[in-house]
Formats: sequence, structure tokens, C-alpha cells
Amino acid sequence: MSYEPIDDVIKSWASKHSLSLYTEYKDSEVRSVDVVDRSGKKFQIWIDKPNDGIVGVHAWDYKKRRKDWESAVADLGETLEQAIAQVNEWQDGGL
Amino acid sequence: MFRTLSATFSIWLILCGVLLGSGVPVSKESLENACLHPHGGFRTGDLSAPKSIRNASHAAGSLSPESFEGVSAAMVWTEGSDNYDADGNRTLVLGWGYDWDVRNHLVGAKTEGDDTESWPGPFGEVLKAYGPIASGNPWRYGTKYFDEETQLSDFGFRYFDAPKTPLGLPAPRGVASEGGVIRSFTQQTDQTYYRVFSGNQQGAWLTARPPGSSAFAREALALPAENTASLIQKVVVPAGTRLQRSRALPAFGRRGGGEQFRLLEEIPAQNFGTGVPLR
Repeated sequence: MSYEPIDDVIKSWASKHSLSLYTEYKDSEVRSVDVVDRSGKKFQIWIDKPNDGIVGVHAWDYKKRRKDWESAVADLGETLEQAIAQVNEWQDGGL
Repeated sequence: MFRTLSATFSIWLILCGVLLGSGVPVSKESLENACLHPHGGFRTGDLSAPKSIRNASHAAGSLSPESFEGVSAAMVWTEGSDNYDADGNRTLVLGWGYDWDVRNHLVGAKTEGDDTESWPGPFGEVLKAYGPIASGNPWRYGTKYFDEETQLSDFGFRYFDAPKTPLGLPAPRGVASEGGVIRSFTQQTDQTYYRVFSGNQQGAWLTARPPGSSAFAREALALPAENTASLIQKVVVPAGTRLQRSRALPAFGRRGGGEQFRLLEEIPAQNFGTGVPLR
């Protein structure tokens, strides 16, 4: 299991949305971005390593709201767009 | 509202005129030499000036508002361009005019002699810029140097990306992992710590006590899925090692809150014990 097959998709998505991609956390390899809205509220989107062609994508508001997706490697770009759309919806709903 | 506050100081300078009008003999060479900004890195000759304007970029003038109140102030140098006629006589001097807010932050810049204007917003983003040399003035938000090449502002600590950093918050360096009272200290005697892991045999994140279960460790230490905390090992931290104590912040869907220690320097590989299963 490695991020190698999906790294290009993740990097391109992060770049498209001007998000900083973090690749390490507490000695572990991760793929994670933080989205900070104008009020300073933070949201995290992170991506699991592919497992049997399936990739887990997760988003949460660091509190209670959370949503998870499972995506085929080929559909990861679309799933990441859904994740950012979900975070944007949470941002709008919280204003 | 910000613009309202900004109107206190509206200063127009003819940059070369400051020098020329002072009675100090000024040669073109000395003006060009003056292009060197005291902090270095000042670039001349990259203005998108009209072709009618000769390449006579120069630096001149203290533009800090305090300097006009007799208060010592940091020098703020900027570029300007002179217009020369066919005989080499100076016919027009282009200089930058500045608007400052009450905190002496630059909130606007204009040139005299053409329609160039550049107005940064309260967080450094350019709200409005037009004219032939709108990007020629590198001193922008908060009178900080703006690097056209990287599109970042130099705040003296590290470059700051205003549009990507809302409300001027410091640019994040990574997923935040340490909260609570964060305390750095030096280990006074050799001490045994614990580390949960499932991959790498060595790492920097430790606990003072062994977690009761794998599930508890994952939740309390907010571990990502990569670390299933299926193993636990003893780690002997030698005296003299620097560590940082904190509480785990929420991350990766886990609530955190557990006490954690981070090695701030490497310790010998043999200090990491054999991993045993953690249920």
C-alpha cells in the first residue's frame, strides 16, 4: 500500500484549490489538507492509502460533523471535489 | 472603514526632487548607486515603464510618515523613473505617493505623472492596481517588501501569502498536533517512555505511561489510520535529551487530549525496545 498511484491526483486537486498538502503526521505518512474559513474555523480533509483499488476520503470540522467517502482510484478526483464541496457547505451553514 | 482610517497621512513626494531640491549635488550615477536598498535584494530595471521613459530607475527619499513629524523612522526606499527629452534633460519625474493608516501601514500607492495606482487590502491582497508601473513598487502591505517573482510578502520572518492566509493568520506549518500547555525540557536522568506503533520501529512521539489499549491510544493520541497502535515498545530516553510535552490535538477524526511527548532530538536506535502486541 502506497500513496504513489494517487499522489498526482491529490496534488493536482490541492493545487487547484490552493490548499497546502501535508504528508507526515506523528511519524506516519498521511495526505491531509486543512481548510480555514474567514472566521478561523478549521476543517480537515484526509485521504487514506489505496486498499484493493479503493481509497477512503474523509472530512470533518474537528468536532462533530464528519463525512466519509469510499472511491475507486479512478474516481478519486471527483470524490475529492465532493469533499471540498461538503466543507464549503459546512462553512456556509456556519455563517 | 479601513480607507477612512487611512486618510490621515497622504504624502506626495517627487522622489528625485527631494534630493535635487536639497541642494546636494546629485549625479545620475549616484542616483543609480542609491538603488541598492539597505536590506539588499532591491531590483532595478524591472519596471514595466513606458518606452518613452528611459531606464533611469533610482531610489530616493524617506517615505515614512514619521519622518515628517521629526520622529526618527525607518527608511523606506522606493523606485521611480525619470523622463528625459532627446537632449538628455530631465522633463518629468515620476515618484510614488503613499497613503498610510493610523498604524503607519501602507494602504495605497500612486505615481505622480501617470495613472498608476496600487491599493492593497487590509490583509495584503491587491484590491486595485492599474497603470503602466503598478507592479513596480515593491513596498506594499504594511510597508513590507513584496517579491514579484514568488508573489509573497517578506515580513522579516518568512514569506507570507496574503490571499491564501485568511485574516493574516500565520501560514500553517503542518497539521497541528500539539495543544494544551506545551513545555520543552531536558531529560535530567535516563527515563523509560512508551511508544505505540504499527510500522516504523523508531519515531519521535512517546507517552510517559503505557496506553491501556490500542483503541484508547488511537483516540487519545489522535493517530492517523496509518498507525493502528497494534504494537507498543519501551523507549529509553537518555539524560540530556530535549523533549516537548503537550496534549494531542484533535486530528483525523479522533478527539485527542492524551498527554504526549515529542523527542526534539534523535536518540540511539538501540534505545527503542522490541514491540509487543497492544490490545
